[in-house]
Amino acid sequence: MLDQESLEHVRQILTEYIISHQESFYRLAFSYCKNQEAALDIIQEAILKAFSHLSSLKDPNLIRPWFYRILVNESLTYLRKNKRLIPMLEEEMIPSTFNHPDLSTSITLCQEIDRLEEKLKTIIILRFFEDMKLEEIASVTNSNLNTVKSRLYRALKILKQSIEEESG
Amino acid sequence: MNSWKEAKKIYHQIEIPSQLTQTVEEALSHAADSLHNQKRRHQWTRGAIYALAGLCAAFIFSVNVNSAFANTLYDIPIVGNIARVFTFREFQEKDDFKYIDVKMPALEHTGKTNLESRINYEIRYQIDRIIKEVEVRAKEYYDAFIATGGKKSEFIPIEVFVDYQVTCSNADLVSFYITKSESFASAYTEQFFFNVDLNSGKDLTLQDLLGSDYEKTANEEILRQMKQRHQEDPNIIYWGQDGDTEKNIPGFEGISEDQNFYINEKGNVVITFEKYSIGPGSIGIQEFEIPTDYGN
Repeated sequence: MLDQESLEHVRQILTEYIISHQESFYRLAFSYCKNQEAALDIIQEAILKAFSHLSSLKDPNLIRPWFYRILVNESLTYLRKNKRLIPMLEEEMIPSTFNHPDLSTSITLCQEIDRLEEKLKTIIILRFFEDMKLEEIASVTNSNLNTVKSRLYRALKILKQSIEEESG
Repeated sequence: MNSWKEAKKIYHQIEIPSQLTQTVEEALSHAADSLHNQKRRHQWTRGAIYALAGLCAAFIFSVNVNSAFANTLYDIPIVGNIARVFTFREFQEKDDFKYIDVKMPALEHTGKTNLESRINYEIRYQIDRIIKEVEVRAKEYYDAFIATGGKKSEFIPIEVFVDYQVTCSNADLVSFYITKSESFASAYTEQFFFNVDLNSGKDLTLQDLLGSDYEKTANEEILRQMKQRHQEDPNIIYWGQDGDTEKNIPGFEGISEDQNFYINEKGNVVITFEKYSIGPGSIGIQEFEIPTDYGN
């Protein structure tokens, strides 16, 4: 158990970490819920959860996977509670300024990532957009390294297939 | 795929609303305010958790000590003085969260008490660790299931099986492994390998078995067999090898310091890789037999 002093120290670290990474949190939350209000709610919930479970952060060096785990869980909880709302909001991930023909494959890729089931999507976003190591992803998703590898493989395979179908 | 770079750019172009900073600040100050109340609530929870942990500890203790708990306590007549691995105990345990079925081996008649107690302690230690780990994970899993709106009656307990396989047993050495598997989470499969030199009482290493060039010998043979398997069946691919189109997942990079292996009935070393560790799950656990002339 953390004593009072080190608990205060960890609180300080967490506060600074949250303030400096809030934009990344927002992008991740938004890519799940596709809705500004909802993404802000998710972040707010995640922050409150993080502080109330501060004692589960055993090593401040692991703050990133620890916080992302809470954030991903909050996002998934939101999705489960609001299942029916999602289809209406689907196209929002792609900003309209990006409707340039040269970027079509990348946009297709983004859309296909959006269509992945959540487990696979989480791994793709963390690996390719947030540049996390597979070990860190394992800790975010509370699974082991081999599970992450297998999901990554499955996701890449699905993406490749659907992009080929789209362009061919 | 070069489009990944572009896709990343698009992802980072997700517009950040101006309210974000304010939202975060509110959450932070709210978290600070509620800290006082929360401390009191936590103390109560912690007490409950300790009580629960105590119960669990008592349970595990009784599984290991009280023979009435163990369904079967094997008592096999002695057949000559040959060292062997036998089923020391079998037991099942079931509650709302989990079902555990264990067949626990032990080593006997080696004429070396130290060796036997070292190996048997290791076996017991690993199995205890597995049970404790499952205990915790099953409970977490159950809590998450209930917390996300699942019904108690619809929860399917985690099923865990622990079994062993003797792969070689003669006057000079004994080789066996313990496998832990789970009903619907093959990624949680674990194997523990025991390769014992009965003359010295020590664990056999790959160096003992394959000579000082063991790393080179093993790596070359594994790569050769990987190639061969892929040629014979194009569906078998290894990450980073021929036929792997992803090139994004780290695969086989040479045997590791604590490489898993066993010795088969021919006396050959068999190097094994866990599912997913060197290729997609579809290829399962991969084994490579390495010609060995140890002891000849």
